[in-house]
Amino acid sequence: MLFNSIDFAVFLPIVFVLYWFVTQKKLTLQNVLIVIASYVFYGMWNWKFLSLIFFSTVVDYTVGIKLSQTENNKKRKALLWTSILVNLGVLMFFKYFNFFAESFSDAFTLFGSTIEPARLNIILPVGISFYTFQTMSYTIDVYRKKLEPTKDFIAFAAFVSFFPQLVAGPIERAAHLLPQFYQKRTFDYVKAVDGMRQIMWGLFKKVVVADNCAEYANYIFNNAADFNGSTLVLGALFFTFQIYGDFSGYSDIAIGTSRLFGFDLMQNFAFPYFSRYIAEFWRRWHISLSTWFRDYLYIPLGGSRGTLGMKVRNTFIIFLVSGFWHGANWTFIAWGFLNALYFLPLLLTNNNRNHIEIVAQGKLLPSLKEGIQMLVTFSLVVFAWIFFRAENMQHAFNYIAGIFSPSLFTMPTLLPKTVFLALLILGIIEWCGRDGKYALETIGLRWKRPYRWALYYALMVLFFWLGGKQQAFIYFQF
Amino acid sequence: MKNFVQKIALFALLPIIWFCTNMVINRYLYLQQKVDLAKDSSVFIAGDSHPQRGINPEYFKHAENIAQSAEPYVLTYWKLKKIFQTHVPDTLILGFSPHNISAYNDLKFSDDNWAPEVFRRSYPILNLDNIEGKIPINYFTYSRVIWDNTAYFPKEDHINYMGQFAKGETSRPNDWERVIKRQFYDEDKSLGVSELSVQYLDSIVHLCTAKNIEIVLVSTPVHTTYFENIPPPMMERYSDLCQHYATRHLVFNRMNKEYPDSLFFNSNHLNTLGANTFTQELIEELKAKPQ
Repeated sequence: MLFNSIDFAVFLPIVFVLYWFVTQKKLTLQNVLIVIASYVFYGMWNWKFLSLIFFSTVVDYTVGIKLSQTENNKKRKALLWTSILVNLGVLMFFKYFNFFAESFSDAFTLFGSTIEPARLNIILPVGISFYTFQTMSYTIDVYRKKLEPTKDFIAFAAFVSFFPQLVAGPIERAAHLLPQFYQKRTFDYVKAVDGMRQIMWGLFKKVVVADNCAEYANYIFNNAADFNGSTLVLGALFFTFQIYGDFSGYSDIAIGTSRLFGFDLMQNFAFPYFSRYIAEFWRRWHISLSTWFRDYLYIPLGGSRGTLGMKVRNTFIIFLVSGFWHGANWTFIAWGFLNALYFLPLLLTNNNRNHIEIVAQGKLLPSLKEGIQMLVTFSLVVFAWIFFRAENMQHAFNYIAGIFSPSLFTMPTLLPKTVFLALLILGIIEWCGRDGKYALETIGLRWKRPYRWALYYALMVLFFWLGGKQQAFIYFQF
Repeated sequence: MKNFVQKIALFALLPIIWFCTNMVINRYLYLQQKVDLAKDSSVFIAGDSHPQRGINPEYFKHAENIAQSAEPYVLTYWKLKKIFQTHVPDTLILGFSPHNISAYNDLKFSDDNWAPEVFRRSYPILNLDNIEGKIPINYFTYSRVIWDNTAYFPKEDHINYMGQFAKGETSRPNDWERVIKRQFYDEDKSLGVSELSVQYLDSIVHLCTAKNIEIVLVSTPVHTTYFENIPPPMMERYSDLCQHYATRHLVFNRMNKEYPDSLFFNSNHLNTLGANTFTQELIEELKAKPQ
């Protein structure tokens, strides 16, 4: 079920009413409702894969209980690895089997012999990378004794399948989200209104920005050979905003929806395209995944401690794995590699922890220096997205070769006004609201109601007026 | 909670009023809207992309090509019924080829790709009650199309079902395999005959007879590769129907007339050159027909 669909517009009020008016007296009932709603939400895409979620839930719940029952280190390790292998095994099977089989076959071709790769004709379960990482965080935290294992199966099942963030995150930590399922939720008016605002802003980013950009980005990337260099640059820019509008829009809707039900999810995007350095970009982009890798991979590997060689190794590992997490294609690995290269100079000069605060805080405009830093960082990011979007490495190289040709200095052959208008509105609102957790958090809050509502109505008019053709969320495939 | 629900309801009230008002206005507008056709048009050319691409109305004295690509007979019938309320021609030239009675036409009201387009063209004229239970209908897509076309703004023009002659300059007749698969097969299984299409073809003929309109069933030439691969049962039923209608009406079947490749747009459509040639042949045939 897509957030930007009529199905969801019907589903959400029904669940909301049942949650606050029918099951509000008993916490367990509310959690049962969340589990049922989440399974319906997911099952409407493909009910067969509900068994995978249930399987993952049972395995990690059982491992959590067993971990609490033993102090034997060997046993604890074995239990931890059981959970990791089961979760990663399912992920590997559905997401990476064909990739490994084909890469293996290609490697043989290099040595002059050919073997036909065994291919599985299977579809990728939506959101599998998200919920497996979320459940793994639970087991690892219990193993590390940072979290008490839950004995409430319903609460745990609700934590794993919680519908707002089930298929595209934010990837929640058990320590943050799970305890919220034990606490009695009372309706909070301010929180709910804030949630509605965040949903509205997320829908704007998805329907107006991402869906419009997608049409042109797809057209340009799919017919790259037919376009001049400047149009290819536009194509890369459109994809840059498509992926941002799509993914951060989804996160906003997920967080906003959770707030309607009394839950707080972690912030997933913090205005990443206003970053001054790549390190800052990575603190602001897909925060839940970056911090997941930091806590469960980078730090266990030694993090930024140790020799220079170890730091470089760890940086490359984290970015390559992050690229691979996105999909079974060399293009994602190249995207990760490129970002590691961008990151390396900052790491080596110890500048990777600068700029914690948002750019030009409290000011209307950035300084010239900040402006240039933002532009350079943004250009690097756009360039890397070409690999992310390309069908394969050859496509990416051809696309880049097409950009860096004499036709780069000619007029683009496509200049879609609707997309430019959508991007202008996005840029202004995001810039004005960059102090908040999402752009619309503070804008208009102190205005009188008629003006504030006029702003919301204006956004709604934009949905209908500028809304692009409905596209599935990009991150569903990851 | 009460406060929140009240505020949401209040906030939603304005858009709800807006949408409902638009829907009422648009319904009134499309029920009132008349088809914009020249009063002196005496020949109408209807059907799908075959007559749309294959019959050039400029060769007639007063003709209008109103055919649209992929139009099933069900839709042609509703469309003609609406048009005949205000414009009654002397002659209706209707495209009639084996693919018009293939069951792939039955999927056009439910298929994810076809249904939005078919509903977009037909929402002001279609009558789903008549086909309910006979073929699958995607009511969700139908509601969505109605919503998209009527809820947002008052719209003056709701007539999306009028086509026009489509010119084509290219010549790529080697796509027969893809076209045959699409029109007659679902994966590798033969789709068979659409009884609903046959029934609606009959309804169109009756509608014309009742209005005293001469109906001419026309099949434009197709490429040999395409013709030879039409499933035999489909050809048999088509031939039977040709014979049946030929007793009372003119059936101008030139499917297997061998045209050079240069006259084809693709394996089953004529290009502009082909259309000009074919239209002249058709006119000769009409002239030669005993009155």
